[in-house]
Amino acid sequence: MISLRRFLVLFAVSVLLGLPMSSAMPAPQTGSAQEYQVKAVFLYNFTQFVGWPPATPAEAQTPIVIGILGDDPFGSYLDDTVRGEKVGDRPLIVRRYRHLDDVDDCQILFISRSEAVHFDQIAARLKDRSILTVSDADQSGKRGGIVRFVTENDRVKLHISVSSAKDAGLTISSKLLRVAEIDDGAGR
Amino acid sequence: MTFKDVPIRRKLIASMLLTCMVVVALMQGAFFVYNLFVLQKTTAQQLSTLGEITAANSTAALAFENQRDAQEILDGLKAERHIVAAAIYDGDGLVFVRYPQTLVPNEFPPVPDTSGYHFDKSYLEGFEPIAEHDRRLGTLYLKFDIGIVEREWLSGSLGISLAVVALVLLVAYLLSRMLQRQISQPLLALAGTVKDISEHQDFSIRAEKHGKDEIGQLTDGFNVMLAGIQEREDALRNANEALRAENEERNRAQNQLARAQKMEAVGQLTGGLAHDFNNILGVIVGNLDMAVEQLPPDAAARGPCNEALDAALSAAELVKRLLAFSRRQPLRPKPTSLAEIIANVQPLLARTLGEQIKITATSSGTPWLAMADPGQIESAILNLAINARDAMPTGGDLRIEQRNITIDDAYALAVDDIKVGDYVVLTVTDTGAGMPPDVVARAFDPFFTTKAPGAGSGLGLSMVFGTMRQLGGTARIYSEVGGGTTVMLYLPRARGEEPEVADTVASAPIPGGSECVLMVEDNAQIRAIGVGILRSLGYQVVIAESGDDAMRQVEDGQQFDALFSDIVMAGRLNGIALARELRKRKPGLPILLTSGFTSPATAHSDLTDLGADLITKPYRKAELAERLRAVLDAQSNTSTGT
Repeated sequence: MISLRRFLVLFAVSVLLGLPMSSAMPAPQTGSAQEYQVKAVFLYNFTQFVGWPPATPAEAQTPIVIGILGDDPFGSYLDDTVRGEKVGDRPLIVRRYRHLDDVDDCQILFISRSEAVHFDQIAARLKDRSILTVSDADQSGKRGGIVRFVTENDRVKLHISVSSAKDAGLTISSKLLRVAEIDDGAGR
Repeated sequence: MTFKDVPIRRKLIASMLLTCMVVVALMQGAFFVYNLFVLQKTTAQQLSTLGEITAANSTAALAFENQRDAQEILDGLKAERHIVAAAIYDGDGLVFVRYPQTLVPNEFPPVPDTSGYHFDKSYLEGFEPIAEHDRRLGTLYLKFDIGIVEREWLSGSLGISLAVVALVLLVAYLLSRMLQRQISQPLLALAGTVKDISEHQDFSIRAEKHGKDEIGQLTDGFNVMLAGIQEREDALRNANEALRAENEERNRAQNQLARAQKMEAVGQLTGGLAHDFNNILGVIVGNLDMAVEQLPPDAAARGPCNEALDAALSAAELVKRLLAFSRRQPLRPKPTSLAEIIANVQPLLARTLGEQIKITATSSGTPWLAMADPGQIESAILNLAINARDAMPTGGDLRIEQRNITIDDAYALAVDDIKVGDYVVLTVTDTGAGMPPDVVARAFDPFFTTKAPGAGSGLGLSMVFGTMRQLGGTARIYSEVGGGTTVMLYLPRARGEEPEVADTVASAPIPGGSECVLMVEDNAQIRAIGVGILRSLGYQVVIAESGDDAMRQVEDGQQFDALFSDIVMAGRLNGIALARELRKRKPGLPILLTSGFTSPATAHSDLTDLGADLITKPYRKAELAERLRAVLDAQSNTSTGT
């Protein structure tokens, strides 16, 4: 219920702010290649600080998937980062989704700026699934996204919505929260 | 002073204290090392824990490159003030954040291949991996100043340690003071005993034994040694004593010998001189006698002649004394009762000494008879009494005692040169001035006198000594200045003979006779006098000029009734030998011998054997007449008896 109400709020906000966001859309990908290199590492690092609901025995051997929805801004960085890495016994793989419908079993989903206009829809579709949604689109956290990358002074900072994470059934390590900005204050 | 010279008590205490100190120091040292080890280990563990916590906390900051957060975490290390430096390195080994921020990144060491902690000088530093779920994110570096911690801990424990050491030493000192006595007491006692012994040279002291330990054994051994030393010391002392006594005796014997030799030499001289004088005096006296006889009773020449005769007789007396000293006076020893002599001489002494001197005569026990010449003994007593009187000008006591003594070997040595046997000792003691030792030593020397010149001849005591020696005894003198003088005369005991009843010389007319007398005399002048006297007395005289001459005449058949012969004569036979020879041929021959002196060879025993009488030169007519008559009568009595 709360999530629904927040969803609506987020939706409204995103509608209100839709213009400037969309106006940025056609613009080429901002941020340097280095910035996405960092973000790729961060994505990988989330596997260390985020707890997913216990995997079923069937899922135990399946890889952990980091998905990219929309345009891929990472190039080969993300692939390079996760190559050969494992979380426990589970290997890491990267999957790229063109459409929301394509999103299957993934643990982390990076929502590219190309999909920012559909953010509310995406958030609504994924809110019951234990997927850590990450985006570097502005205000993404306020529309139901869990983690938002904010670049300030050439540094990538984290903004986390604890309530969204909770709704998704994810546990965020307090260590991670410690280094992040908590976004919930505005949503409530 | 080295440790060897320190008294044993202090040595013991010092040893115990040193032992305690070393033991406590070692224990404290071990304690310190162990605690330091524990401290380091604990500190390292704590640091490791802190590192682990910090590393765990900083994983997210590192993973998501949150420098501010990482810095906050590192700044949190301020709580541990001994951490002097810390840093978080990222996955590439670059310093991500540092603490304190005053340090520059290149002051931090590079990340090593292996993590862990190690000691670098007084620092403990190490690297802690920062990892999340096995994923290595970076490295934490910590530098901890363990030196300060150790110093703080040391300064804290050192005080306690010192207090403990001091307490232990104090207790050890008090204990050792008490306990060392167990060892030192017996040793000190032993040392004290040794000191006593060496100070007093008393080897009869024995050390007291305190127990059966080694010191006890030492004490036993020491006591055994002491006993040995004491024994040897006693033996040595005895030997020394004996040696000293022997030396003393030897010295005395030597002195005795020297004195005897001196006396002998002086005696030879005076004896020879006296002999010649006697012959001369004999001629003078004889001629004067005859001259006086032939003078009319009222002749004026009688006076001077008698004067000359007296002087000659005085000279003869002097010569007699010299002879007495040189032991060459003719003696007629016979068994004599000294008590009788003393009794005889006492009235004369009383007159001579005067009323101021009290005379006491005593005898102890039953006195033996002495072999002595009564006249000489009287003269000796008189001589001693006069000396005593001169020593007691203001009066005093004169004691004359006699007693019997038997001289054995030891006593014979103590009393100079005297034969073993029985003696009668006559002691004359005065209470006079006494004499110093040097005077005593020379008292018997001839011509030694302490009297004024002319007051004494210095021959009195030497005459007494000579007489005693000649009689086979001796004289000794004891005197102390202020303690009076004692002279002891030792006379040999007479054996088995009764004293002759002294016949009182009747002042009868000079006895003569008609018998034929063989007169032997080698001195022509004396021979002439002798022949004159004998013929004037009515005797027939056969003259021989020597013993050999007499013997020749006898062998030629010369008849005679009696022999009157000089003893000392040149030729093969002297008087004694002649008398013997004739006695053999003519037993019962009356014999009268004469001599100016008797040589030591002429013992009175010879006279006794021969039954001969002796008349001393120079003899006078009355004397010769009496003595000759006596031997003739004695012989005729004996022959009548048989």
